[in-house]
Amino acid sequence: MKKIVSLFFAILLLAGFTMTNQASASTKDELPKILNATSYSVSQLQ
Amino acid sequence: MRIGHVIRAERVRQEMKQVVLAKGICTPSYLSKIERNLIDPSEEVVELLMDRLGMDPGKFTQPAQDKTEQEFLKMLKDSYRNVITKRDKDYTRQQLDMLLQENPIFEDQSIYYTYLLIVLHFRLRLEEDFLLINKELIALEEQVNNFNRYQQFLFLLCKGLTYYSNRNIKKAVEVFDTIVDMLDKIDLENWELADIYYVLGVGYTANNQLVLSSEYIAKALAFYRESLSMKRLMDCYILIGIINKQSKKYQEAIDAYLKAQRICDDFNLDGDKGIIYHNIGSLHSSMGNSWEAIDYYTKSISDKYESKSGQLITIFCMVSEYSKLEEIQKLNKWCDIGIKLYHQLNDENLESYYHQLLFFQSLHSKEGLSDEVAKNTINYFKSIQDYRQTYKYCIALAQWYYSKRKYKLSSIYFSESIRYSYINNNINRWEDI
Repeated sequence: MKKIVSLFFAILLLAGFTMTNQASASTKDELPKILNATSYSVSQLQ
Repeated sequence: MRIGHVIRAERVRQEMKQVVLAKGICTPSYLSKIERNLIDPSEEVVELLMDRLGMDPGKFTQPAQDKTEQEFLKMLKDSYRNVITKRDKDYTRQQLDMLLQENPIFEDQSIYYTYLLIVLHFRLRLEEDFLLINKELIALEEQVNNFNRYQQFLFLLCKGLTYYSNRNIKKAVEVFDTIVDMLDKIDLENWELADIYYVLGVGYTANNQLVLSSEYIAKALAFYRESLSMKRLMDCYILIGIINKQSKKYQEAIDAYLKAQRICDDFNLDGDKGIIYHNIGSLHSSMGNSWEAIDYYTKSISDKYESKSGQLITIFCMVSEYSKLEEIQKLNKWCDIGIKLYHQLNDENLESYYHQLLFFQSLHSKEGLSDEVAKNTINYFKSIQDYRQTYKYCIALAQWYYSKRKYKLSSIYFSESIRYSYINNNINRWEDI
């Protein structure tokens, strides 16, 4: 019974991760700004 | 000078009915004719109508200073080009103030629409109040049938950028797709075309359409390299790095970031190093080098000391690495710093990082993951329709329940995670995978 449960979750996990790898940009990348200069200099922040 | 279209545009912008504006001044049907420029109203009527709309009649009824239509259009275009080229908020503010002093009324009514669209574009760059910008967009959408093709392009650009600025990337990209379809039908100068390619490149990267984004970034990069626009060139290399990282071409990603870094060094663009360090950190994270990632994130945070909001994403990424390494003490330290920073900044655009930091903090606490924190995080991402993150935190919660032998709850959240993964990937059934 325990084996079946483990297998069930393993399949669920595999299905989920496979899809993540196929799509969606990572939110962990910092994209340059689309409109203004990316610079973090003081004049940009005021 | 006929200014009915100006009155109409302002009335629509203020969401005022014709009956309300006309009351005590003229009949609604007379106002309707004025707005369509079918009749020349008396100066007195124009003044009364403008007064009710809170407009300055003097500005619109005086001749347009000493400019001809061509001179005014050239001034508009020059201002627009300089704002796009400089990408500097102070300069944009100055140009917007200058435009707002101008009288945009000419025999050719179309000039007024170009003026309104460029003014709106500047407001967008200044990140003015979203509700105000949205209101302007809705009012302009009513006039869209009167726009020429270039004005339609300017309008769509404002619309797409508004979606992007509000993190509705999917909607932004839908609008960008429409812009792509019309690009060969409008005559744009090279600097404007390069800027559009850049905008498309950023938008498609954010939406993970990597083939499209690399195509447009390559086109923008060719222009900026030729025109020696070093900051823009650097931004293009950062994007190429991100695209390559996403495509798992790690060496190409490193090469691109090194090129961006060299531009920073050669042209003393010290304020831009923070974003490069962050992305090199993210690259190392993808390659499984958590400690190297943390080194770069640390450098990024110290380089971004002037920008607290810029630091938050890096702090969150640092926390993710410490979570993988199970360095609980350091994770807690950075969670505390990030949460404190979020409260200081009080910026709702950063709310997603707040929820995620709380989640990590709770997950690694002595008491273990709190149901409340986990569900708040999941519900937050559902509410902003970020189904990728909803999926991510459903998995984390399911795994947590599984580790605690709460198999029924675990099964529910695994199932939920798959549901949101389907939505995120536009899949309806498992057979479609």
